[in-house]
Amino acid sequence: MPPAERLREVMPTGMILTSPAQLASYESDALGFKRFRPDAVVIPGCAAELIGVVRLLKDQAVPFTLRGAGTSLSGGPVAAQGGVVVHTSRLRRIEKISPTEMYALVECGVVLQQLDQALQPHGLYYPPDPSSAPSATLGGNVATNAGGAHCLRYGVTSNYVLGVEAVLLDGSVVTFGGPAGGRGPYRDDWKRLMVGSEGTLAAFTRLWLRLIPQPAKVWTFRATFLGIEAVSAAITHLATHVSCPAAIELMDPRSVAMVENSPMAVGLPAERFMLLAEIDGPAPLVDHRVDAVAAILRECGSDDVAFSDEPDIRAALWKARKAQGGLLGQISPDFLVQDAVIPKSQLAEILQFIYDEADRSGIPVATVIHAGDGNLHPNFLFDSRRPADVAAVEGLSKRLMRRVMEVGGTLSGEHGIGNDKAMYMEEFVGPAGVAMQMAIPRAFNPRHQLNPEKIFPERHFASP
Amino acid sequence: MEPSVTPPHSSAPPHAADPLRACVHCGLCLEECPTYKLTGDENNSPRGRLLLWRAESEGRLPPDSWTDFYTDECVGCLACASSCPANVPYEAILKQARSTRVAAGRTRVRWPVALAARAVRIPRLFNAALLPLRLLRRLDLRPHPLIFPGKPAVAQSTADYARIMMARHRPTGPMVAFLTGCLMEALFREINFATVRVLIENNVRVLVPAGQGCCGALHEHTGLPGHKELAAQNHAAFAGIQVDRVVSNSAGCGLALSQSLTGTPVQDVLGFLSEIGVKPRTRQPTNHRIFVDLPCHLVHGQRASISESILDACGVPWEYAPNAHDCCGSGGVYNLNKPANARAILAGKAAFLDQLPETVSPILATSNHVCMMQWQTARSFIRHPFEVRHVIQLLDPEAAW
Amino acid sequence: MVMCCPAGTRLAEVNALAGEQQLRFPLVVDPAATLAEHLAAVEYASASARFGPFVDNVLGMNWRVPCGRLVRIGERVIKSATGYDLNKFLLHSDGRYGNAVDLVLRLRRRGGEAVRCILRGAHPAIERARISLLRSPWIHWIDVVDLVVTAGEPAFLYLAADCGRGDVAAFDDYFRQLSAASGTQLEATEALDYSLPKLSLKTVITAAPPLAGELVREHGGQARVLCASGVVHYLPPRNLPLLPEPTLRRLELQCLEQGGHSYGPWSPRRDAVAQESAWATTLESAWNHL
Repeated sequence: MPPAERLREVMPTGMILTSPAQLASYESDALGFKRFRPDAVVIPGCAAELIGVVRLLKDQAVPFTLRGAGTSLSGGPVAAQGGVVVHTSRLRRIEKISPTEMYALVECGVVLQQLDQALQPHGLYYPPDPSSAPSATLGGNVATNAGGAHCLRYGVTSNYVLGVEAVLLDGSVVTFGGPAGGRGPYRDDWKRLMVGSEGTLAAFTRLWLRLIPQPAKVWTFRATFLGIEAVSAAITHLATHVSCPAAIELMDPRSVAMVENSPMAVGLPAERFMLLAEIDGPAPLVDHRVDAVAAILRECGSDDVAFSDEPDIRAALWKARKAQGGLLGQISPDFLVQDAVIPKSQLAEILQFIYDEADRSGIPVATVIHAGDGNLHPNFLFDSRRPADVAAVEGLSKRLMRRVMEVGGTLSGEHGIGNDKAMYMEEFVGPAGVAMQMAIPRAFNPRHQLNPEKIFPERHFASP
Repeated sequence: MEPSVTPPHSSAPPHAADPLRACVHCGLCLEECPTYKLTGDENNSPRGRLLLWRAESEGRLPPDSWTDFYTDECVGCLACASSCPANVPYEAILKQARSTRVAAGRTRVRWPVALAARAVRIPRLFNAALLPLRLLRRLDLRPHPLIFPGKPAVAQSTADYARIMMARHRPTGPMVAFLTGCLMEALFREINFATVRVLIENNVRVLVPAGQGCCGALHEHTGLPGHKELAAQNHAAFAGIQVDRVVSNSAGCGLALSQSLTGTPVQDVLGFLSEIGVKPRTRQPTNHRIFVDLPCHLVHGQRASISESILDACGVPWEYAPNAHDCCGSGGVYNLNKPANARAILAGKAAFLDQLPETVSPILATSNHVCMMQWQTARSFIRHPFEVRHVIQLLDPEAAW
Repeated sequence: MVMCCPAGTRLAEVNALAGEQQLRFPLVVDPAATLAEHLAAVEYASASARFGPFVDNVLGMNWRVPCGRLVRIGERVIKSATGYDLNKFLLHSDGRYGNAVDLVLRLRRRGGEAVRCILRGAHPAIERARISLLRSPWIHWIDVVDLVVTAGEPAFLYLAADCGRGDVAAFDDYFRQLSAASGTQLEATEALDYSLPKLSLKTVITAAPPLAGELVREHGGQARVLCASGVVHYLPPRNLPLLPEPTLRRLELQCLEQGGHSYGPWSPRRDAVAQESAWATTLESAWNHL
């Protein structure tokens, strides 16, 4: 640990937390039951202080981890090996919004919703929309390549990162890319490796993000379906429909039942899948497609199709989907959400697999799905105080991951690997894949001092 | 293939036994929290505080003065409760955490606050003690930056005034029971009088039940004892009488009273007036402009707002103040206990006043006297002159401005 | 909506196959050129206006590292946050770390109808049209927003979209409105023939049109600005074997200052700076001994 005086020297306006009760809040991200208490937390007051802290810490025999808002679900920004957590919560300056060049320059701790609000008067749009948008930082979004419901049409975070300014472990501050979104003075496109690197390569200080015009008009559709066949057909039809839906979201009957058995009930029929879809665009293009989309939903077997372009009604249509995550806390002491992506054609089979395996393990499961891109979020409900529950959930996750690999899917669509899914990586990428992947931290963070034990469990920090 | 849709395990029962475990640690509260935004310290956020309390209750964290510190740091604005997808009962948990800390001597409440909390339990005494301050206000002298201008009656009580006004105007409409409040009655009585006038002008029969006491919000905010007794006292004063509504002109008092009077409908007076319709004021064009700030305990506590029809009726151009849904930093007595935080929170909200054109005379209007006191303090660092008013004063037929 | 095919597949073949499923791979510069030829010459195509660069549309690869070993990179699904993004890093790495053998392409629906037009007019009118379109929600539905600058001819804006039959009238209306509002003349057109450029410049969207103008004014030939991407594709006149090295360096420097770069056959060879050289060497040595 660096002496407190040294830390104070490099961050005169920052905060240093060391008491057990000050460290407790930093034990976990939104995967609350996996706790790793850091030895210290530092909160730099500005970008210069962040750079100073990284330069100081790199010379100490201590691992350290960058953390945005800590809303991630895979145990990424936690001190898995102890050491220091560097919290970027005070680096929240939007430095520039350029309506002519269509980009924003932000500090890493700017909150996604803060950017959205700042873009509103310019008629500009930054599409990635993870559910944590009200709190999540853009630095964290870039580190995990965050997605969200609307990335089906508009793409994920990596499609919007033009440049990354970062402090490296040699102490240098580098800019990969910039407003133009290219390579800048470098021969290779290093920013591609920075995006989605989960804080294991560098500490981001500032980000250049691409902006697009806001879609003019939005229609939201909600339909319920009795069977998986019917809803799968609807998803396939919608995904290839001329309206190019911006989002296609699915809640399974168990999730619907969960909402309907709660005070958040919205009156959905029980034991049904609920599908939400959104189409958007200029009014002359989008308005005349509304009937066609509703017709697809009905033809595929829904007798319960609601749709609207009114903001209030649209919010009501989304209500059950939005309520689902929070309800987990009201019915279960802990939950773990998986994030696999599968080919859409495998949806019915994988869902059945999840049900069978969960039922056999005695673990309740409620699944929500970014159906347009095959991104599954099964939520396993359990009590982390019961070791048998924890073992059951781990076994269940492992079997699901195997099955996902067999059908050509991937481990994580938008949450990242963190330390929660690191144990599946070797099986997923194979030995050659591990060697390919591990070369990257070797180039930037060879001792794994930055965020150890994430992405690959063998990324263990050994002090020299 | 048809997946079996019904789970063999019906959803596990809600674990209401331990509300602390309802928090899923999602973090959606972070950006709602004024102290998190101010400090960037996650311990100083709703999620952080809940985690500290839970870790302590589960024995994973020994009692720690830092936990007490972060418990005290909370403004109690309840914005987190509005944003919580898991409906964590934050207000109840916070009250519990504070009262157990005060009872165990882990947190010390500053003596003037503790003294006030005792004094308000005997309204007659409290009113008498504050008579000199009422007098000073009457003479347009303000001994403390928290005290906003106004000319309260020095001797006449709101109850007496209401009786006289009722006799004079004989309204015939719905009947309300009016909570006059402790500090409102003892110091800011002119707002109570204005409330009586506006209600009666709109044909409402106003009853000021005898025997009513302080709502107990002060005790709940600070964790001091006394709330239970006050709740019982108010229950006795209000619950038995037949009225259409119990009304309060202070968002925080209204919230606390509504929790004491189960079954009796308590409503903010402005909400009630907007339901029955209010006589609009017509005024000569001035360069006044109203900026409306919404009290947290109205928005997040009572889940209500100040309706546009009410604000339109004030007869002066109005708009919501920027970030009107965010806390001003008042938090009951938070601005006494944590003056630096309170000022920093207010500074962010009040900055817009200095951006206004010089020709504009802004009126900062809200509906909670503690918020008014807090806004009054902004006059020490905001250059642009502005006035602080209760919205009911803007509807007052006798308003002097 | 994915397709796996060898890197040597011509884009015309890719789209013939995809077309059987009413799908398409929209990033085509020259249908007769292969995927590998595209990836070596350009990072963006005209349809990047709507669908983004190649890196966003190539989901995965079988990659041959220099030691000869074949490694699976990336995904077969359209969304991933699994591990380091080698796929995007390697796709245009110019043979330094190996070569793509097979590619997994993200396909898009084929609307079946094509709407195309050309807007002509004085420079300010063209600029008005370009800027208005880039700020309009229509941009999300238009495949091509290219400013075509040819030596000795007035520059024009070329717009094209793939859409459904029911949408044609709406597009026509929009193009008419855009033309009227900007003071440009609207012309119907067939698809323009494109070939792979010799030089591709990536910069900010406002800097690309002047860069294209300068190139063509001084050296002739044709430059196409992919307006939404801030990219200039330069096709030199037949008699120009290569731009002078100082010119290439100067052009590249202009892009570099904005965090952009130059790419393609004529792009000047760039040596890694010391810091980068260390990273690259680490990767090369690891990947050569898999």
